[in-house]
Amino acid sequence: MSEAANISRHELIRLIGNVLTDIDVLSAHFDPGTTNRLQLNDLRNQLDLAQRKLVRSALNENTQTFNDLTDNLKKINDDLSTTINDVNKVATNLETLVRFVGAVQKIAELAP
Amino acid sequence: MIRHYRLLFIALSALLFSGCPNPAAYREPITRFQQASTIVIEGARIEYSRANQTERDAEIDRLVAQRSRIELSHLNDPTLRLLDPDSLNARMAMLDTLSKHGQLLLTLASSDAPGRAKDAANSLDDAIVGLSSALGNAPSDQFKNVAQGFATLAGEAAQLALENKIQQALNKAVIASEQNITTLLNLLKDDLGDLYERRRNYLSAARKHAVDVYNLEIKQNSPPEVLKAAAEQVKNAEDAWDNLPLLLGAGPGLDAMTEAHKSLVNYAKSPKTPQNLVELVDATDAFANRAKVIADAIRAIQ
Repeated sequence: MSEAANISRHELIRLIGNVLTDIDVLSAHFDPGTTNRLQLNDLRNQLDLAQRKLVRSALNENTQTFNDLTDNLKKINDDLSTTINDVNKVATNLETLVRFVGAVQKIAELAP
Repeated sequence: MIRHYRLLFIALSALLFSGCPNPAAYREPITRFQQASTIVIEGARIEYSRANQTERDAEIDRLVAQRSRIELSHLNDPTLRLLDPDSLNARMAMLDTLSKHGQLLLTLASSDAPGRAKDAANSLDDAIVGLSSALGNAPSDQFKNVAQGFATLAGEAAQLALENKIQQALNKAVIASEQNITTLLNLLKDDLGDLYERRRNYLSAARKHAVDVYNLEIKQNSPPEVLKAAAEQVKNAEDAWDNLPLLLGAGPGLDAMTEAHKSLVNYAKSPKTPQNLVELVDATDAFANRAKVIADAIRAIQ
């Protein structure tokens, strides 16, 4: 069951946008072609595709599944926000970003 | 200048009107509502029409940054477009209809309605024909459902006005406004907010790319003029990023339009005393002023 306040489809798209810009800032610390940078690029591409799909779609946000998935995403986002600005915690950031992208993709799968 | 106009207007209202406002007094708020609506609709139209172009450019830039081939078949992919042409047409037709509906509502509420309502009703009727056609092709979603409900009620209001049934037309127009307009404008606002997020995404990637290019030149020990050129690109990308908040103009514009519509409904339901008219003038002035700010913001980013 949902505990936190539900977020709308539009708020979800904005939340993804915040993470995309965070990834860009973090990526700029690493030279193109390096392992960290390639991983971050890959995660960014996946997140970008999911955001575009959500913008294009008429996703029904009034379902329990949507609420449960977005609640989970918000928790991952809380974890991410504690480390994303710390370039020295890149391993942790990558791990949390993988979870974040996976959670977003699950929500995007709800789109027709 | 606006302030002077308003003081003069209020003074004249007090002198000339006794109980029921002069028909001519309505023309200014009607005109201002029309002008402000036009600005907001144009702002939304620009945002909508640029959305697909921005998306295509973002994809090309992404491929360039990754040194990947560009295939035309990929650029033709419909999933690269945020809005298909039918959805875009439906939204534009909706905005046009909302504006015409507001004009009819205001005309019906004015004391010389019988003489002028038919023009407004015909204008709304034309807009509804365009909207119905556009909605027929648009994909089924919440926007389409609400828009169809609105089109039915607004069409009935227009028909009653054409039959000179002014009070019934006014009642119907008020119901159409109260039931659908706020929902519709909120849906459009969310739409534009989503497009804004895609643009933010694009500009964020662009500033990263500009910084990458500069840092690469540093690493290659490039000559100062090359570094300077790369630094200019960083500045341009940062300028575009800093101007991003201006793009929020279309969203607040729709907020202002929602408030203006509420004021029209309040006025339509009021006893229409000179004081009610002054309040309506204040509301349409506020809408016009916000629309001007939006127009300036749109000019700044073009």
